[in-house]
Amino acid sequence: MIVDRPESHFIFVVPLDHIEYRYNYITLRGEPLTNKQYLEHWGKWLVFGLREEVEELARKLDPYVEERKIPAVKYDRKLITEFQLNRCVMCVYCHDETKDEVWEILAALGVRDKAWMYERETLEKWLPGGVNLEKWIQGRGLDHEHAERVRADARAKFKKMFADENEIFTGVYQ
Amino acid sequence: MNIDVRLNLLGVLGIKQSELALDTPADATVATLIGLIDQHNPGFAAALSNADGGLSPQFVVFVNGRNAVQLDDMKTRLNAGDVVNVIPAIAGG
Repeated sequence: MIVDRPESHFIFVVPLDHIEYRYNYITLRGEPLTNKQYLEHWGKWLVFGLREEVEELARKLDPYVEERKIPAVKYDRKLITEFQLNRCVMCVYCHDETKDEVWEILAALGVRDKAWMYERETLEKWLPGGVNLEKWIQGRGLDHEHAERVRADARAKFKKMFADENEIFTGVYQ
Repeated sequence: MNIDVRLNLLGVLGIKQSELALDTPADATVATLIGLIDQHNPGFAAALSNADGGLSPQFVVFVNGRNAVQLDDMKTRLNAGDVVNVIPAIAGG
């Protein structure tokens, strides 16, 4: 099911059961991942394209998400102006044990860019000193005090989310 | 040997050409490949390298889908038919 909440920068493709019954798609063989497992194994194939291209791909991926062959997908609603990129980014999520099966689906749908990234790598880029957070701060033109507040918030959020490595990972609200 | 390169720089370096088929020496590494691309796109190697000669954190180089930093960084050996993708790190979701 394609979930388009106007207040979010991202548009999601998630199973209908996730919306109706809070089904947790961050799993491996039906078992939800702990924070530790999430950081070690959860990741995504990255796909780039114009908004209409990623939108078309999202529609084609939707049935695979409902069949649970692909856990979830998200893509940019629009270009991120702070990053000055000229393409939208789509993330096709899965556990690293199933990434080859997911890649076969993407390749069959015409995706040619093969780029796998662990969520841990992305989260690190959003920590103080990470390329994404620093570029975002720069792009917004934040003053020193505001920038430091943003960095402190990022650090605190990450610490809170992963405080107990054995807890079931509960997701990131975006 | 032939290596297919896809530069998904998304406007960041201003390089127009996005797909390259490069003929590299048999013992080519990621560093060799970056050097070859730099011959036609001056500044490419400098942008992709950090001060220690490793891959810059500003970009991600994937060899057959795997991040080269998790392989052998600049020294990652390439094989005939490999596909290399380069993206700006900020495009990583």
